[in-house]
Amino acid sequence: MKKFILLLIFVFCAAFLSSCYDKSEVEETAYMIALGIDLDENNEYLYTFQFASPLSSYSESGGDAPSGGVKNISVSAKDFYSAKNSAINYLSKSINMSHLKLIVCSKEFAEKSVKEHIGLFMKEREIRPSTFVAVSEDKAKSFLDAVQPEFESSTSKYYELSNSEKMLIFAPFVRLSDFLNASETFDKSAILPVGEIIDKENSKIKPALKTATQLSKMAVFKDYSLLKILPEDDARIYNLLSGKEKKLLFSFENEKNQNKTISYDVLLLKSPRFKVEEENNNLKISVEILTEIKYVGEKLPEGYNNIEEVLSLCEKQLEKRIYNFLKMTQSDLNADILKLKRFYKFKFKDEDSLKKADFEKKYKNAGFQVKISPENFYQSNISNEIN
Amino acid sequence: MKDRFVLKKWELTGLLINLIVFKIFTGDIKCFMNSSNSAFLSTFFACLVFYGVFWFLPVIYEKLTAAKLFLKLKKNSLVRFIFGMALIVFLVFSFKKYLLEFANFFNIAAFPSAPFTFIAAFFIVCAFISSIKGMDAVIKPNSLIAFQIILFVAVSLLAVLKFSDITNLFPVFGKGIKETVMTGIDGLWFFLDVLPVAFVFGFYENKKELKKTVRCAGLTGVLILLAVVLFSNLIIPPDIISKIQFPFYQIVQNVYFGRFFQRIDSFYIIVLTLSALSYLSFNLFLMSYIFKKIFNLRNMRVLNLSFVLIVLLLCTAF
Repeated sequence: MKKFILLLIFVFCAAFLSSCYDKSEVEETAYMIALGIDLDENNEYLYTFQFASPLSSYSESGGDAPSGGVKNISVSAKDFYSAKNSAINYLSKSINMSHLKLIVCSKEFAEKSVKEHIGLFMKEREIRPSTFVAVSEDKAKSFLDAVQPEFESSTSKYYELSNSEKMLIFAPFVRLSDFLNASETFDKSAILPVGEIIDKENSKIKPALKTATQLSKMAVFKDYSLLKILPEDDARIYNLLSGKEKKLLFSFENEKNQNKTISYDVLLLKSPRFKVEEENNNLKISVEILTEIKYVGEKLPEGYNNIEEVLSLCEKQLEKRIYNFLKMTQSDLNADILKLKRFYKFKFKDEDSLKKADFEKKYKNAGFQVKISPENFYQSNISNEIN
Repeated sequence: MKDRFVLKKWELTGLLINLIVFKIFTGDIKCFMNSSNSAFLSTFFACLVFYGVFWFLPVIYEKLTAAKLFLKLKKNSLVRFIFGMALIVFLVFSFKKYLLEFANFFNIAAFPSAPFTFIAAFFIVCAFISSIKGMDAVIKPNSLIAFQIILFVAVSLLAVLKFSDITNLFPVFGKGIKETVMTGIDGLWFFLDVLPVAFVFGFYENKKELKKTVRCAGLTGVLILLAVVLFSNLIIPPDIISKIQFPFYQIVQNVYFGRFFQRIDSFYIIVLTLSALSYLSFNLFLMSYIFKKIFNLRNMRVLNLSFVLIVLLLCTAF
């Protein structure tokens, strides 16, 4: 019994006391919550570190301070660790990256290559694989400077909320590990959400604050370099096809009255089912979507006599959108961003036979077929009166 | 130091499970992966072969085991000396390898600013103290180790189920059937450290239940290993796994439960510490025990310190 107690004491010491060696006090540590990467004029990297500053999250009058409880510091350096050391020297605090929520890189930086940095961040023990990554259309520094949550006093929590699967409607949901996994497999194509500073004059949104940002659109990468930025509509179709978004609202112009739009809700009942079939050395890629489609409107749109007619139009419209998206990724981007090869490799016993089949070559000429299977046309208290 | 003790059912079970699975916490688990989709099949094959051998281990022990043969060999015989010394050399190098492996993990994941030798010394001192206090002190915590490993692995794997992609398992034979089998055969060394456990079978309290206990523990260990490899394969694409130093740690880093329970990987460090200490202490005890038997020594206490110094010297030399 004595020995058992003695051993328990040692185990206790091993688990709890050994960390005293490299302890760090909270007040001696700066907690990084976001990181921006740009290219500066000298072709060096410009790193913007965004630190949580809990004391600055409340103004003197008692309300929330406009800073959102963060402070930004930018450092030019040849590599990340040199910049981090410069920041430590300047702040006189050790930097902790355990709470890093977002890594943003500028478009110019992404166009070169993000490989080195992504690999480094994945290996960095303090950075979680679930950290969000995004591309900024403007400079990453400007993006981080412009971040001001409208209804959240903690910027860190705002990042968590704005990057969650539920809240990302106009951009894909991608974590650091997802990006690395996608960039290393098959044709090495990957996607990231795009962050933009809201231009108050031209944007649909008119925020109350001086500056505001949002994540919308989708950046397509191939071999770690930015290929193209796709509009938010494409990002929504991607979310639907990848099964990450279960409920989406779409609108399209009413052909019979071009001043009005027809809106409909799409509720995915199951994740889209892809099939990749081969006929005479040609690929046929089909996708079947089991869904509920609901017309959103109080009255029937102008020019339509019954709800079935409207819903059938919505179904065709959705089919067309998905088809166009698949065709665009195939012909314009030549990138398999949905990783359709996954559904092709089932048929092969080993990698050699898969390699010989040359999916990448066949994918360029593949035909697409989209089938929407509406389980239920939903309608709620709709009157047949024309809108 | 006493070399007479009684090994109870859960203590032997825990010891065996830990010996089979302690390497899942290190980078050694990659030996089954070979950047191929067939990692699970290779592991399954290796586990099948290993379990076949392991199934007969208690039978061989009862009939004509290496351990029994060794212990019954004529005292001061040359065969006994050579066989014993070969085993000790194997145990010393195995001790050194895993000591460095554990210290390396701690250096990367927990104490990046601590000197490497400091961490290695911490493990070695703990192993020395526990083995010097007798086998009782080494084996008692083993009854808890099996439970905590099973619980930790099960919770971690279930929590990351949502990140899994079944298509990572295809093409099923990866680089070909031959390569899959060869990777499995290569992976058999993974189980090499388990076999010397036969030396302590003689201390089991219930000789009649030995077969049942050993087989149940072996099956549990093998299933844990298979589950970890399967999930590593499902979550991390095979092209990436070779670039990751500790695949299971990478998987555990993805685990979180809501906003409050975010850093579940800290439990990994506790589980690894207990698992490592159990293995290192057992290894050190076995070294001293075999050495004592070869030279018919009375006291094992001095031997522990000598072996600790040898391992420390080896660590600094290589």
